[in-house]
Amino acid sequence: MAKCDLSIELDDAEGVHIGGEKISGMVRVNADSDVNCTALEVTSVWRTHGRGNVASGEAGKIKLFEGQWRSGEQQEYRFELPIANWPPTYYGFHLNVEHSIDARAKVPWSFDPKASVTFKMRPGRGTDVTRISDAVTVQGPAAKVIGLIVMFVFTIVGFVIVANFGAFGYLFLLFPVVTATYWFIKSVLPAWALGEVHCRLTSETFVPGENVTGELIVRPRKRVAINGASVNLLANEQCVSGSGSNRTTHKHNLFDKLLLLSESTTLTAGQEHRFAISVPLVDHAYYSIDLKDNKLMWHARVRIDIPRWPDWVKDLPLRVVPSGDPATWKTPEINLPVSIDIASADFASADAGITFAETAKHLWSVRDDRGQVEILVEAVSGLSFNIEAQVERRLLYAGDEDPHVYKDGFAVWVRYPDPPLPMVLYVPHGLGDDFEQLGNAVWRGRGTVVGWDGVHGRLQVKL
Amino acid sequence: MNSGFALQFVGDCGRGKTTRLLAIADRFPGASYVYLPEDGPTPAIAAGRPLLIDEAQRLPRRVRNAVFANGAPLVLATHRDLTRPLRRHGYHVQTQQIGQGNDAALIERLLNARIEASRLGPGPTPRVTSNDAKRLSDRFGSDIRAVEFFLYEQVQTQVMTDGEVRFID
Repeated sequence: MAKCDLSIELDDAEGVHIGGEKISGMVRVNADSDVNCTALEVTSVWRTHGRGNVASGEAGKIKLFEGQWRSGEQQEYRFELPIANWPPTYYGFHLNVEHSIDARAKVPWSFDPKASVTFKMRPGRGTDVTRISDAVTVQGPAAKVIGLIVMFVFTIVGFVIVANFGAFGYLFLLFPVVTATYWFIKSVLPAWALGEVHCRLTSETFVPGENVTGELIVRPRKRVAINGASVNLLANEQCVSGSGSNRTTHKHNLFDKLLLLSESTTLTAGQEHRFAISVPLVDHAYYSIDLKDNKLMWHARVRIDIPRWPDWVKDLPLRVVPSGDPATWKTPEINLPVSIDIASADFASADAGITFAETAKHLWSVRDDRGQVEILVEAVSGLSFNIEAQVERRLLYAGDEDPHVYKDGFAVWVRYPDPPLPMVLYVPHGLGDDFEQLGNAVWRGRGTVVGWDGVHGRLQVKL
Repeated sequence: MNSGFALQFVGDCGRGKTTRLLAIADRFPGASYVYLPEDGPTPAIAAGRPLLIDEAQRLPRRVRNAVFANGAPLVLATHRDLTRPLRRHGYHVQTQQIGQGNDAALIERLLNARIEASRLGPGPTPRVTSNDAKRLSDRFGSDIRAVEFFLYEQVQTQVMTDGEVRFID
């Protein structure tokens, strides 16, 4: 058991903080026995959580205290730390980015007491848009080069084996043959039908509220009929979990907006046909994020539908970055997926006045009516709350059909203090130590309601 | 109970494995009991000291390895001897074969205790005699559950014909 408890109070806990500026608050220490602290450190950090491997960064760190705390003593230490100017707070499907202030008291030969409190951040004046643009990589020709090298190697190996060991080598040739056939159907045949096609965006970077603009130019060699031309503006989360052969990529489409460039028509041979691309980005469009294994990527997919022929398709990558225009800084906007209704989104739970205490109270009152419980849980699913709960048991096994368990994470049975609503917390691997230290003490943190465990009668909460 | 210790009750259905597990769970506040159903997914298994697993032979190998790797004290009710996988995970295993002591005397004692526990008020209650218990033991062997099912059916069939057996709504 820890000999002292830490808690953090931010001066502005509910507000949206601007990246690059300072955040201030106070760390409170309650010692329940004499504690020799070698360092009380407070850090301003950001970290990802969700399906991908965790990425994190530190914006600032200070040492507030070193020395002895007496039993029963309560001390308060003020701090002011810089806020990272990138990435912004984001709550999505596979990917979440959170900024937090973490406090840790280093106690020799004992578990270090810790505390953490999250806050909302949006990029501001200090954000170096140019640097972000560079950091958010756009998939270029590298993948094609690697693919060509792999195909080349397979081809060489295949021919060598055929020459020396016989037909077994054809298995190696199968891969380049299938790949080349696919490429021929997807790229060569549409280009052969359409002739010269140029497609580009006016810029690689756009800001929320701006129009994504560009142009599609087709100059057919011969007269060709098309069913239409269109562009889809797409935003995807792409998270990678695991490594090596255990590497898994999780994708989720967040945004898909279709713009028709042309109805069914016939393109005249030798004539240049121009189609203007202009798709508005919503004001609160989320920014492109590239944090190693956690990405939020935008691209425009241009398609020309050719009857009875493979369609011509091209993906144009783009980046959505914070605006350089000070006028847009007036509107504090958290990087929330536009597919989520803002009224039901994460921080709206606090704005709308819905507290976890109320949610627990309502659930407790209808706990014997499965139908009512499910209706209520569905209404609050996806909402995040500050939660306090008594730890009951850690699960050695969380069940075959439980999709909420983090890879390498675990589940913990806890109970809300009043009313004693049973809950199951899905804990990412990184928080394992914290729960190990807690034992059966009270846990405090932020979690998102994800469902109801009907078998054990527990509210499911994902951290 | 110490970490690395496993007690397994091995026996056929109806011999008293689950009864023993539930009795142990009742004695240890930190115990965690889980029943593995024949069909459907493996339920969540919460850590406990001891961890009591009913129908432990149904643990999928992957889950079994994860649970045994924890090293917590275990009490298992199983139809199959799990000594080898337990020892592979470093457990000291004690095995009790359940059912061998379920003779006529035990049947008589259990049934009379159950009748006594069902008493509605003061006065005499019917009793299972040694002869009745001997006949039940000869017919059902050590399967106490089968004995109880049989007697339950007897009550159901006699309720409308026997003057002494009446259900009061």
